[in-house]
Amino acid sequence: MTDEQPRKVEFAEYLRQHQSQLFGYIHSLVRDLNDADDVFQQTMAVLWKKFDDFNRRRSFVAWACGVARFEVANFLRARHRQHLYFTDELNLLLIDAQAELAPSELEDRRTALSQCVQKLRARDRQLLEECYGERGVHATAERQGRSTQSIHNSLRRIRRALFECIHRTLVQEAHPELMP
Amino acid sequence: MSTHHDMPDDLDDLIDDYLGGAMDEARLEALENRLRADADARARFVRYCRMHTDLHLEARACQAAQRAMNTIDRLEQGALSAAAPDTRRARRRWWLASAAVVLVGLGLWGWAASRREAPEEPQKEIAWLTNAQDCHWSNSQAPAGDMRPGKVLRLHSGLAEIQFQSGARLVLAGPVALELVSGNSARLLHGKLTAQVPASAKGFQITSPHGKIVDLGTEFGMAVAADGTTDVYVFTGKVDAYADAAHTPNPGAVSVQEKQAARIDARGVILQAANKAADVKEFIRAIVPPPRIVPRTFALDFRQAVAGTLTDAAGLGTGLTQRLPGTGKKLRAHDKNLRLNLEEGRLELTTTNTDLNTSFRLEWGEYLGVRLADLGFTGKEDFAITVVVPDIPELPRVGQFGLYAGLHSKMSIRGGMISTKEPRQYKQFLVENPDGNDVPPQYMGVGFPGDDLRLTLRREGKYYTLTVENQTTGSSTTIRVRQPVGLDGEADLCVGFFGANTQSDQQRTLKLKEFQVTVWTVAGT
Repeated sequence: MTDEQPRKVEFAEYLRQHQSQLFGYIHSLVRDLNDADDVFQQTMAVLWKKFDDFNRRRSFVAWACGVARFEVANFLRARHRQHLYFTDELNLLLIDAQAELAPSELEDRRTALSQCVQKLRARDRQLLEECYGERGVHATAERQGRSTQSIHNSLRRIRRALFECIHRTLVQEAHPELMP
Repeated sequence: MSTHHDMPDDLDDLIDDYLGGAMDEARLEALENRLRADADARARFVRYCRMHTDLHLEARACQAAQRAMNTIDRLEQGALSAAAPDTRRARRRWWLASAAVVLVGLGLWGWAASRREAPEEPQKEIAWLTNAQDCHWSNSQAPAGDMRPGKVLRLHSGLAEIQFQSGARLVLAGPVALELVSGNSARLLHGKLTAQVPASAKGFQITSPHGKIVDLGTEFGMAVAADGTTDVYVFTGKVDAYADAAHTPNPGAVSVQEKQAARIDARGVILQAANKAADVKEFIRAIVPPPRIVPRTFALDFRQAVAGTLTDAAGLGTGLTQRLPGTGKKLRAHDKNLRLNLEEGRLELTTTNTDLNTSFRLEWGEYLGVRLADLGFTGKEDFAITVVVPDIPELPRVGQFGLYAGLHSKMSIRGGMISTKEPRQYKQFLVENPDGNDVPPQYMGVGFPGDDLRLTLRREGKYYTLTVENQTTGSSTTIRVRQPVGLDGEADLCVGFFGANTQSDQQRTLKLKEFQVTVWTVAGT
């Protein structure tokens, strides 16, 4: 019992550094925030149980995402959604891509996103807030008297613009001399 | 970096469809192939997904923060008493909660940003708002979680009570501006306050433009005029008054005793004649709340069984806790006339051949409900009972259903629909039953089997009203009668609904939905 505490501290520290990447990975696969939350909880429990097996010289993100991959697969299978799921091969490649995404870049992207949202038209900001918040796309469509498809189209346009804007912001920060 | 923005659009389309959940197997396969073939595409994919995640988290955080602020605002305006905070989302797991904490500071939607002040070095709060009445704060911003050193509270009007870490309490009377200095001191920029300082906070100080007051365990009032002139009056105990050395040739402490007044201005501290009683009365020493009416509501949607309440045929708790005393004694514990239909959200009540009028077979009577006292009723308060009865059945003549309020089966008022001698026709009725026998009822309106009704029995002051909203025809009819003498001031009322195939053996089943009882209690009594 007494040597449990340092292990827990170490585990918590790994998580603190990488929880955002891990959550992002899970969310990218299950695509629903509450589902992602469930799978994240489940994954955490497994990670803690297997923490002794973790080779400290390896990447924690890669290891954790590997575990999460199985949890996601179990979860989707239980929901009968297995047919809308990437192959194992692609999943391994995606874990690599995820692990390459450094926490500092995530942070920069999030900050840039924040600035970019501010630059949106008020109407677009409102739509984002509604669709990404508790109301969700369907209820928003109903409230606005629009079709779900039309809302999806708007969201697609907004996401494109935001992604573009994040890119520009980061380039500008890295090379201010290049910008007019 | 590999996330070039000149990726072909079709990849973005695929990713977007994937995130939106609008994807069939063929498109998923197309996406899979693109991602497998191209590392840049994968890099773009994880970043695009990440943005999607961040948008989700931020929106949640934003809304959670907004709800929290709304709750705080309501609390501070005193509008919220016994009501629970908004707990619509039970799913508050630690991840989302911690994500909210991390992200809320970013303020994507600008709301959180507008609330933010000096971002780094979070200082501890040194005071708390403990009471507020009709407060109008400058910029409409009530202090909330930001009462740190340096914070200036500007109250245009109304009364606010704040408590310092040390235990000292101030009542501010708007218009007033007060700067928080430490856990045991503040600066009065202008306006009036009174201070109550317990022994633990002895030494509590309030500075003013011309000096300061140091409390020695007491209660005092203090006012700063536009030109900085400071008046102090000691209600109990004593204080030391100092003039600021920079403003006056006569600095130094002057002791001000109980029921004494002093003025600090450019001349120094000057004790005043204690005949300024009129001014003294202007100090507000405590916030006395006006009587506040708080509705307390009990509602049943019949979508879940409630343990420990009257049970239906299958033993499910209906949520109802009482029968009108004097009724239903022979009914079984698992009442076979009741069926809780959880899927439809309704309680099905099969009528029995009974009648409150003449106390006919009431041991079988179905007069169900709750005790008003459980909602804080003491005999004086107004209240209302509502139930929705869709698709009303056809009861034979004199068959009746509706709502009641009563002490027991021989002292009640009831109203609803009663079947008339015309076939397939109801009238609306409201009748007092003062001694086991009905007085002549009030009749009005009309209704037919199959109608959807919403019934409300309400007490307002000395009157009872019964309103029937006919949702099938869109009409609404109200009958109003004086409160029965026998119910006046009685605290132990039982209220609820009933159904009876009076003077017939043809039982019918009523579907009861959305039962609700509200008592308008007076807070603080």
